[in-house]
Order: sequence, then C-alpha cells, then structure tokens
Amino acid sequence: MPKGSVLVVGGGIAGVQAALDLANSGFLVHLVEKTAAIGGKMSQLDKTFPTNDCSACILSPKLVECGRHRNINLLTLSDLISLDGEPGSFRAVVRQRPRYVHPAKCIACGLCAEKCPKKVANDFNMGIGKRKAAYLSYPQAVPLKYAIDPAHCIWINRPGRCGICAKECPSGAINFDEKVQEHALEVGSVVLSLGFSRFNPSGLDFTGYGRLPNVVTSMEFERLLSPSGPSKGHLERPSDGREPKKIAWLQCVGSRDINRAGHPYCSSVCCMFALKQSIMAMEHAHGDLASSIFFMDMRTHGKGFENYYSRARDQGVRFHRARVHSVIPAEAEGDLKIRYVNEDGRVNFEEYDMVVLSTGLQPYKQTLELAAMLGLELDADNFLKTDSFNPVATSRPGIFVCGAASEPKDIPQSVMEASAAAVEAGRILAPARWTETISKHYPLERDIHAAPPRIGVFVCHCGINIASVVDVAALAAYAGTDPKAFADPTTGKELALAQYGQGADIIFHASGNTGKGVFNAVSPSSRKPCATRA
Amino acid sequence: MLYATLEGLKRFKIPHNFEVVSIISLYAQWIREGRLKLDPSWNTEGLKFTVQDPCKLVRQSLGDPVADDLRFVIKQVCGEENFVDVWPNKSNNYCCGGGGGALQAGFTDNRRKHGRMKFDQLHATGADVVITPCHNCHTQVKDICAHYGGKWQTTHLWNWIVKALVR
Repeated sequence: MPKGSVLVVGGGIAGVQAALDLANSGFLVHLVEKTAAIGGKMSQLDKTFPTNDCSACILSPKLVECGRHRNINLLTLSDLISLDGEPGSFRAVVRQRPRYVHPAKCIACGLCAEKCPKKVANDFNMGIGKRKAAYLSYPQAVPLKYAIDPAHCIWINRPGRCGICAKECPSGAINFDEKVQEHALEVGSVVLSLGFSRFNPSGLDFTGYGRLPNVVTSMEFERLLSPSGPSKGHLERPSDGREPKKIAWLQCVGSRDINRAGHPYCSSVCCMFALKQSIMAMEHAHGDLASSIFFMDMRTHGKGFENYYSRARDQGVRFHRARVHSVIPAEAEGDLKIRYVNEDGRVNFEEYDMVVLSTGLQPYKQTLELAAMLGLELDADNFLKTDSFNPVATSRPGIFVCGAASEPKDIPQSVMEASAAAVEAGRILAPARWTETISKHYPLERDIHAAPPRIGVFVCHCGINIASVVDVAALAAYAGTDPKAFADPTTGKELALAQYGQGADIIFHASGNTGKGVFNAVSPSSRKPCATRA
Repeated sequence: MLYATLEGLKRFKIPHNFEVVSIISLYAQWIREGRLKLDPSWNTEGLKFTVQDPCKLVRQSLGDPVADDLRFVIKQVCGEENFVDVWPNKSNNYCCGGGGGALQAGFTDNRRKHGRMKFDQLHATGADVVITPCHNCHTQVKDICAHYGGKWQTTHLWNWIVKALVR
C-alpha cells in the first residue's frame, strides 16, 4: 500500500493549484514554500493577460482555500533538504526556518511592523520603497501572519538591543528563541513547482539598468502599476515622481541572446506581458501616454493572444521591429534616448520618459541544487528535463514537475500543468486515497421545533480595532442582563444592530437551536473607520 | 604597450612573476594612501573635465576598475563637481575611431566620419577639458575637435596632476 500523501515543493500558483487538486481528491498534501507566504510571482502582478483580470482577485481565493484546507499542511520558510525512497514511499526531510512569530498567536494586527525601527528594502516591491524587519510580505498574504526577517532584525543580530515588537505585541506572539525545525515526512509522490527567477539585466550595461533610475525591469514596472505597490497604483517614474508620457518596452532582454545573456531560448511570456503593460499604462494615464515596443518577433502564441496583440495595435501601441544598440541619458534630466537600428539597417534615435526591460525567465539557482540533490536531469538551459509525451514527469519516477521550472510558461499553462501533475502524482497512490486525510464531522441534527428561539451575539475583540473604542467585556455583560431579550428574535436583532451601530466590528447573530439562522459578518478592515468614529 | 603585453602573456600562456597595472591605478592608489597629494582649489574658473576611456586600456584589458580609478583621479584633480561623465562610458564607451592604424593609414575623411560620433558625445558634455590617457585617442580627439569646431582642450592626465600637485 503506497502512502496517501504528497509533497508539493513551491507555493506559487502552480504549487497551490496542484496542492488543492490533490487535497480535494483524497490526499494529504505537505506544501513547502521557501518564503513567509504562498502566492509566488503571481501575487506580485497587477493584472494578468489576456483578460486584464486583477491578478490578486484570481489568486487570493485559491490562496485562502489552500491556507485553510484541512488536508494541506502548509510549511512556509521551508526547504526540502533530502529525499529517499521510491514512488509510493518517499521519506522527505524539510527544514523550516524560524518565523519568530507564533502563527497561532499572531492576530496580524500589524503593531510589530508599525513599531519596528528597522527599515529594509521591500523585496515584494522589487526593492522599491521600504518595509520593516517585522513584516507581512503583502496585504493578502497567506498565512496572514507576520514574520521577522533574521537578516535585518536588530534583536536577532544583537540580542538585547531592540525587542520593541515583543513588547508591543498584544498577543505575545513574538518568540526570538524559535529554532530551525526539521520535519520528516512520509509521502507517496512529489510535485516540484519551483517556479522561475528573473533575468537580472545589470550585466547588460548598454541598457543603463542600475545606473539610469528610469530604466526598470518589467516586474518593477508591474509593482509601479499595482495598487498594492510602492506608489499605490499611481504611475510615476522613479527619478522624480513625474507621470511618464512616453514609455518604451525593450523585448528579449535576457532571452534569445547567447552573446551576453547566455540564454538561447525564448521566455515565451514577455511579448504578452509587454502588451499588457503598454495597454495598462495607457489606461493609467487616461490615454495621455505613448507606448512603444521594440521587438525582434512578437510571439503571441496562446489562445486569444493574437487578438490581444491586434487590440494593442488598435489602441495605439507602436511597434518597432528593431535592434536596440543602447539606452543613454537624453538632454532633459531623467529622460532617456534609445539608439536603435531599424529594419532598413539605419540608425535611429528616439527619446522616452521611461524604459521598461522585458526581462526573461530563468531557473532559480536553488533549482539546480535541488535537481542535483534529487538526481534529476536538466535540459540544455538548466530547466528540469521533461518529455513531450510525458510533460509533467521528471527523469526520476514518482517526482513530477509543473509550471515554469520545466520551461518558461504563462499562468494558464502553469495551472494546466499543475492539475496534470496532481493527477499523475495521485494516480500512483490511488489505493491509498482518503487514508491520511481528515474529513469534516458535523454535529448530529436535533429536533428543536418546540424550543424557544435563542440568539447569540458575537463581538470580535481581537486586536485594537474594536477593543480600543468599545469595552467588550462590559458589552458582553450588558448583553447578558436581559435573558428575555434573547428569547425574542426581533428584540435580539435590534439589540445586535444597536451594538453594530456603536461600532462593534463583527456581529453575527443566529437564532440558534431554531434551525433558522441569520448571520451578519463584515470585514474588519472595512469597518475600521466606523469603529474609530464610535 | 600595456594591452600588447597583457594580451601576449595571456595568449601564449607565458609564465611571469610580475603584474601588469596601469599608471592610472597607481595614481589612484597613491592618492588613497596619501603619498600623492592633489588639491583642486586651482580650478577657480570651474573648468569642466570629461574623459575618454581608451578601448585597449578599459574594454579590452583592465575593465571598469581602471575606468573607475581614472575618474577618481580626475575628480581629485578638477574637483568632484567639475567632472562631467560621458554616456555611454567605461567599458561601454564609444571607440574614438583613431586606433588600429586609422590615424596613419590615410582615409582621413572616413576616420573623421567615424569620429563624428565621438565628437557629438564629447560635445554634449560641454566640457572644457577632455582627458585622453592613450596616445591614439589623444591625436584623434584633438583632430576631430579642430575639424568639427569643438572648443575643448585635449590632454593627457599627468599634465593636470602636475597642475594640482601639492608641493
């Protein structure tokens, strides 16, 4: 009998999809993520092509489902360090680095980050702007638990020097003594959803990247467009905060370049994300922006992609088939001049406010290390080797791959592969389905038709949103003074609504034991202004 | 001399027990060590300096470190605020168009046409002095300056070190 559980390594969109598919089809999933939150690259995107959907709106429900799924064991800040065995019975060791914040105690109030004195570059925003050493990667992070960055935390580096977060934390969640833990896991198969890293264009000095502040990479630009980004979705260029009026995208930076980038392959997604960004930038500027794309070939190969390209052209995006020689400063401070050779072989110059480098995809360095450790074959470009007729199988039986770890690919393809890998990983474990999972148990139904209706009033008092303006203990005592009120649904509801009006954050009242119930619930953050007023 | 020596040692794998360094890096080292004392206060008129990165010195042999040293020394000579860099620069700088025998080979019009790009680039800096730490670059930059009506002075580095030297 094989094991009824699967190890998924990598918590980006592919890993999350594979984990959900496996957990929903009867397997216990251990989802290993190296950072403090799942979501991966997709969580950093503003919009997704070809629908221009808000990336977070599609991703967040999946992350939340993943985070609260009873059959997904989420291991953040973790790395797979060894794997022995054979298909159906692997023994994995996962090393989990300390979060220094107890996940069960943390109520994500944000006080630790607010009071933390140490500012560090915000890696989620590609280093644009600052975050604190006590941080939440991004607002929709799953798990919604803060973490302390050991590389920058003052206390961890010089014990006794700070510790403000531990003093401020209302739930006593900070624990500097947390140690590295190792988890030994028995699993039947493994899915690798390791994702990709972005090509760093600093070495391509002709682009001016790293020296000219208004030359940015596509991911930096994505964060500049995003409402959760450093400029709150207001498009401004880095050097002076001015709204750009003319932006150029340079394609194939780190792709199809064996001369300086060492990457002969096409990264497959850059044409599409450049189209998306050029359209989104025009929308941000309400039409008062000129977008140009300098390309070798526009490769819009997916479903609906060619229409997207045509739409961009119709909306006024200009396309130059050209080889860009260099990006140099123009006369006006901060502006950029592109020197390029057009299709006629002539040298041209054109000036822009900003230049976006459509940087290619490449495997993580850790992918190579992991592949060496697991004995997996790589292809010529260091991606995990797969076979056309077995596209999610690696060279080692029982280990599957999905997403951009096997070659550059977009979100729809990654999700497709994730489901394929989930099926493949589950297929060899079919006899063990539902053996390690936990199933839901509901209380037995009772006959209550003759009993008097009862209403419960629940006031959320975690954190300071409500507790700072409403004395929750007194409120609870008051609500209990008149038992008759709670025998009468109408009075009960009035009383509940009155508390709501006074600033209670979440009240849900149910006519318990009657078989009928009313629930009112609101998001704490949306009620915050109301609670503060009361 | 420097490029040829380095290239020869490398290409023919000649064993040697010495290191080839540029005098520019030595200037920079001596300034950092306090052995060479320079004072930019002579530059009361605020003469603007810029620089030509010789291909053989920078791109083809010693790379950006020597280009950084070159800038460091020039800034010590003329004052930090009086240095205007060209763009592109260092390993990515344009060729002057005078090397490889072009200066000696005739075909003057072609050489000057090639040098037009260098002229425009240097002209855009508005500099009064162009430092050219290479004999080829010096002759070419001086020639295109005169030919296209530039106003700058083309010199080697050491002349200005003498000027700024604290005696």
